[in-house]
Amino acid sequence: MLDILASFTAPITVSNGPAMFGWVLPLVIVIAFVYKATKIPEPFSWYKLIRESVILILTIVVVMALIAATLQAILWLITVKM
Amino acid sequence: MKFPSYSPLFAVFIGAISWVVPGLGQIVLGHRARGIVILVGICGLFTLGLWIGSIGVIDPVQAVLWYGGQMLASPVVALIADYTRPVTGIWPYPSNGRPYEIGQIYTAIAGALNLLCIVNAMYIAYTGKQQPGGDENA
Repeated sequence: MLDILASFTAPITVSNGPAMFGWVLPLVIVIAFVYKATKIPEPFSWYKLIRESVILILTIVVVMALIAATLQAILWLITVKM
Repeated sequence: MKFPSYSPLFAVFIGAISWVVPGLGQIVLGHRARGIVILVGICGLFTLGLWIGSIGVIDPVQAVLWYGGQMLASPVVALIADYTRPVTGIWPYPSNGRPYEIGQIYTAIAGALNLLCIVNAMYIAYTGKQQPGGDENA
C-alpha cells in the first residue's frame, strides 16, 4: 500500500519518441465514455454506450491523424518544395 | 434536510454533491449506471494524471489556471494542494518536463469533464429530463 502511495510522489519516465502519442488514448477513451454517458437517452443501455463511445473514439483518433498528416504535408511543402 | 424535487435549490444541492464526488448526482437521481461510468472515468483519469506527473502537478502557485481546472474535479484537490505548496521556496514534490505536462492535461481535463457532468446532473434535477429534447422522466 505504501509502495502504491509512494509511486504518486515522483513522476514516471515518459519517452520523447513517437510512442509518446499513445498517452492521448486513455484521455480520448475517458472523454468519449463520460461524454456519451451524459448524452445517451433513457433507457440506459450498456451496449449503446459502448457502441457510441467506440465510434467517437475512432472519429477523434482518425480526425487527429488526418490533421497531423495535413500539417506534416504543409510543413513538407514549405520546407522541401519551396 | 429534504429538498423539493425539481426546485432550483435541489438542483444546486445535486450540483454540489456532483462536485464533491463525480457522478454522485446522477446516482442520487436514479441514473446509477451513468453515475458509475462518470465516477470511474473521472476518478480514473485524475488518478492516472497524478501517477504520471506525481502530485506535484497540483501546483496552486506556479500553475494557477491549471489548478482552477483541477479544482473542478473535486474540492479534495485543495487538500492535496496543501501538501504540494512550496515550503520556504522549495517544492516538496518537484515535477517538470513531459510527465508534468501530461499529468496537468489529464487532471485538468478530468475537471472539465466533471463540470460537464455537474451541469448534466443539475439539468436532470431541475427539469426531470436527461437532456434537452428528451421526453423521459429522471
